[in-house]
Amino acid sequence: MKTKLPTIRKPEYLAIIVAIWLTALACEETNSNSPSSSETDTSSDSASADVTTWVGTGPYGIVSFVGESYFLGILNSLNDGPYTQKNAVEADGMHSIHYHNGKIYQPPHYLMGGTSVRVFTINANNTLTLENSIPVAAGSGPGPIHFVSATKAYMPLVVSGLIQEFNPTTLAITDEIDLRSYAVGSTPTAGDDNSPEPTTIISHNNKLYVALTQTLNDMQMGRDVVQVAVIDMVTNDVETIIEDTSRGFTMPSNMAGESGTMFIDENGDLYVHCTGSWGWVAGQKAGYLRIDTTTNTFDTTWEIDLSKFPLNVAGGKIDYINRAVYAGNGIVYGAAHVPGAESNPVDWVHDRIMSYVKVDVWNKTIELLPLPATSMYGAALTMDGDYLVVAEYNDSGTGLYVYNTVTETVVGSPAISTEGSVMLIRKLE
Amino acid sequence: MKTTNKPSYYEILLRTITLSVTLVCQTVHAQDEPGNTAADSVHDQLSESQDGDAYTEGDTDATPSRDSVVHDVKNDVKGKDNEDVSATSQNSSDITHEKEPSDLLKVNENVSGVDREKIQESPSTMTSVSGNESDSESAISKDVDLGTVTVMGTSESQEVKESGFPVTIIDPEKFAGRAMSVTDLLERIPGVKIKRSGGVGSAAHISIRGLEGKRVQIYIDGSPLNAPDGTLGIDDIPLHVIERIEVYKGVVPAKLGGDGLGGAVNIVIVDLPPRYADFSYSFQSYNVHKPMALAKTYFEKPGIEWGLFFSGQYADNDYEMPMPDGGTHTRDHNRFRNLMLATAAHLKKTYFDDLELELVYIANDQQIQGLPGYTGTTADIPARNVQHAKQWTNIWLAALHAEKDQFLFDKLDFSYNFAVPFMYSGLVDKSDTVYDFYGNSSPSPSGEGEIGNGPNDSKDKRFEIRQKLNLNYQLFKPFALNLNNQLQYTDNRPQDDYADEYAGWQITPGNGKLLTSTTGFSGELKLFKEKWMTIAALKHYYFKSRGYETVLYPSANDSFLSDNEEVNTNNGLGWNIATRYKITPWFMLKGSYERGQRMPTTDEVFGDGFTIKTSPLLEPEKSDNFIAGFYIDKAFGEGPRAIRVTLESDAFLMYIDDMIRLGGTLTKNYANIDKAKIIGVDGELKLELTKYFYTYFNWTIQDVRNDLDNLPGTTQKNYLKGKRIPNIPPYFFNWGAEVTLYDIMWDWAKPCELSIFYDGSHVSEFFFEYEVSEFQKYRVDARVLHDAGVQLSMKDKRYSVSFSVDNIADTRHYDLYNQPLAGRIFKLALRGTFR
Repeated sequence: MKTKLPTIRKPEYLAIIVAIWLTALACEETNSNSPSSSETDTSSDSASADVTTWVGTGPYGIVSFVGESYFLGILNSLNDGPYTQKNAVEADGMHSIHYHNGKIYQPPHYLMGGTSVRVFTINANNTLTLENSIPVAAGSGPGPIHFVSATKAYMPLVVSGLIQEFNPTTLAITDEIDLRSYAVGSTPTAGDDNSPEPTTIISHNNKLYVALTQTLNDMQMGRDVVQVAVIDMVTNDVETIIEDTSRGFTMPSNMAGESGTMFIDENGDLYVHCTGSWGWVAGQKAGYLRIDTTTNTFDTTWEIDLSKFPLNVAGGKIDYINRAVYAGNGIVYGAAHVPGAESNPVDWVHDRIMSYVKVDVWNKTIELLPLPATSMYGAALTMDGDYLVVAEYNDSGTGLYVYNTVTETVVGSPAISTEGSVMLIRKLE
Repeated sequence: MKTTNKPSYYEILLRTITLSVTLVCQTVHAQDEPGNTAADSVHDQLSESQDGDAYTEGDTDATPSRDSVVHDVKNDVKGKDNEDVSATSQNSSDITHEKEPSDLLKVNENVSGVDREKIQESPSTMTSVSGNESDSESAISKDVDLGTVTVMGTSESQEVKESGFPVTIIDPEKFAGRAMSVTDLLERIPGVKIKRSGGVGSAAHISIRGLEGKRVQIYIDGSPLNAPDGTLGIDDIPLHVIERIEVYKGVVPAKLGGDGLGGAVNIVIVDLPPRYADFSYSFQSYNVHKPMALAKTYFEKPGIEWGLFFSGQYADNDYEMPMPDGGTHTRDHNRFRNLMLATAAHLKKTYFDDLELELVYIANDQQIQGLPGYTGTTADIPARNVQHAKQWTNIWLAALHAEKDQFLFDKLDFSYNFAVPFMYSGLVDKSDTVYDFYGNSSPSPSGEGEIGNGPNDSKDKRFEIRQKLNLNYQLFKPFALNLNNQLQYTDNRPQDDYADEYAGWQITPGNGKLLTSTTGFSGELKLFKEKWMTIAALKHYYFKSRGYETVLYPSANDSFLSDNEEVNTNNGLGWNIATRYKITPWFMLKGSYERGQRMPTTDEVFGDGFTIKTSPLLEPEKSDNFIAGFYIDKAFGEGPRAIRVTLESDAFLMYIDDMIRLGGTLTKNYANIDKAKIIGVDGELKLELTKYFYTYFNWTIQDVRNDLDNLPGTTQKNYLKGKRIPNIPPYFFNWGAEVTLYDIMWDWAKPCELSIFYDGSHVSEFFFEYEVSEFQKYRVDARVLHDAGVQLSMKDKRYSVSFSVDNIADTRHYDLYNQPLAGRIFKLALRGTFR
């Protein structure tokens, strides 16, 4: 995943907005059924017309779940029709995929025994060729990679509690940062573990900001703390641990390392999403906290507790956001978990427990997007210009939908169908 | 099912011979036992063999005991081609026992060296088969030069084979002197594939015509054995104590009870002679040792047969496995230890024909071996070089078996099994250090524990009560009814205080109780001089499971388990029919159908109390199985130069519905969502070219595909429909040959046999996942394996030594993706029996 945020100069920004507005006007003139912002467009004719005129059309890297395994493939364009696996390769899990300098880097699932981060080149016919690999210790748990330049990148080893610096061109390991001493013992009685579970890494002002998930025994339940490590990128020394223990939030960012789970906005503020132990620990919260990167401290006056925002979903609220992308200007689009939509006993076949939302961290608002609810087999998303491309597993089946973030309309239902449940999708840029 | 035919003249003659031989042999073996005359021994022997009475003419209901010197001889003795037997007599007095792979029995009795004076001294307290006491006295007191007598009969194995069920029978006796296990034998039969994950003691799943895991039931003498996760435990049973192995492939007789989708393995334990001892020891590569000792004796006055049994296994399993970097690594934490102790008492002088009490203790201890490469599974195979974690099991079992012919009523046969096993098992994983495969170590990321998400020191308890009742009633001659009920109660109490305390949560599953009852009612009809036989059965399945509800979002109790108990009840009906018609005595057509059901297991219904939630609405899996085939068993000529051809083949079609699958992401449970369609054909050709040479070839072609119309919970067509289900080879073959030379060794060793054997197998490649891409690489490659060896049996198979090599070419091979198996294996086995 590319974590460097696109910077758009204002004149260009305005031009794009005008162009899209004009396009939308044209579409309205030609299609009297153009939906409002609160409706879902189910017209396939209008879907085709919209898709062919939008600014970005891929390519995308996709990790799909087929049967009981994962496959990694390339979708060149949504205009290419239904997505199939015929050109895909086996993916050792689905936690993250990254694109850098024309190559895809794919770490293995941290529990399935993979011992290398695979590096693929993309061929002209959208097939993948395994070019190389970065060896990792079995069971070390490679996490989301952060690329700094053509010669410098960082990869957290979530289970081992280390961060490896490597050269993405030569794949040589150039340094290792040991974070094991920062592992926190849980409260009140469980013993210490030896990894703070570093996950998402972003860089700003020659510093690395590393989310320390601090889970209990890798069991995906967080301790009562939110921590972000600050590391000097020149010396690779830990400068400080930014910590919040007072407000009940826990588990910063996640293994996919997506931009919407930890990002630095245009004002230089760092926002981090906390998963809140997936709702499993009573009293723990999920939502966003903010760090002032000039002081490297949490802004204790600012928070977004996701459960406090009423929404028109089952149960009236969401809790954590599983996948998220930062669209700029304080806007995050994400797939949010709706606890009220979850049956007990569990009915993973029919429950549609994820809904797509728009979070405005600058204005502290949350809106529900006019997209169908989906099961977690297909709650994935990526930004492509002003379009949000989302995956779905709903009553109609599996597919990709496109949401125009400017006109706030949905293109197609789905825009294309997919073979397999799309668990990760990345615009390759 | 018994048959009642009036014996012919030849049968009477045969029984006379049998009686005489029995008298002689018992005298030889009984002469050193004080207070136990030869006559008493013989009388008791005959009493065993015939409902307490000696053989008499017209006593057509008698069924000889397998304990008798003459094994498995039925009253209505027929020849190979169903003709009446005539006992032949030659000048030579050498008569020996033999048992041939075709399961028809040749019995020749050795009467050389008999102490005839002992016989003459014995009081003649029994009656000869002619029913004339004076005749019996003269029979006992006279020298008998029997010459060579050939007796042909229908063994129990053959009866099962000819019942119309799609079944393969394995007779392990021939292999008992070799270093082989039950799964080694199963792997060689058509339609069966064993999927091992490692060396000796490792988990092994059996696949029968594409049905595998929990869909295949394992029985010991008709009582279920399965481990809850479907893995086998039958390699704990040495071949020496096995009479035969029945493998049912699509349709299972109601008498076995239990649920399942038509695949079943029934291991029938041998009924050994009352005084018997058996010692064996085998050794094989990678430091595998398997000692076994068995001894039994008979106390005449109280009429108690008492036996002791010991077996052990020790294996280091330190073979090399490939590494992702191209190198190899010697497995260094895969030690397996197993101990089995048993004692049993048969009470012969009670109302029951057989009343047995048995106590068994089994202990297993296995180190857990990590694997370095991608295995596609989470948690099951630890992704690091494990050095300390291990699992252990202790089982105590008390069992009672009773059987009685003519129980309460004439023609009503009764058998009853009752067993109370108690299992105590655990996983120990507390190391604070983890290791890689290159000699490096570091602190455990979890603080403690090398595998999974934290430390474990579980002490799980499981208590069961199992009972099985079987009633068989011969309504009238060609028609018999059978009622069978199998009841099992399980109380499962997992416990891992160490893990719970470390996690600060209760992560151990809650207690659960399970009650299952399977009742089968079947009728058997034989018509047209038994050329046509049909067995039809109706089965009722009842399943009641009790556990604790799970909550999705715990409040303050730090547990996903609520205090509310939950009960899940399922009822189901199944039925089957198996028919066969003998066009000629040696050519049989057969067909069968089963509507089967597999009840959900407790862990499927109640999950693990943590991330796998309850599934109280889970329904049984169902199947419709259609099988048709033929069986040819034809002999040409007689005696040692006879040629025998056995050819059989089945075509099968099976539809599996409501298959249970685990799904969900963070929160999971089981649901009935899958469907499969299985089409295939398998068969076997066996040739016995004289008694010196035997060869076989069998084939299995199976097409197992996803048959689900729509993606679960959607209106979208299922893109996997019609695709092969992964991890199932589409075809495999087995072949082999054996040359046997007789009496070529020293005189003291005779009668002896020297067997030189070879076996080969070919398994096609198969994919680890659904084949959806042209670029898939994760597959298990096709492989060909060759085994060979030599076995020397001496003194009428009382002593044997064998040496064999498995995987002669040291081929790297896998049953499961990236879980390597051992290469070339050398084996040596020694055995001695005393009767």
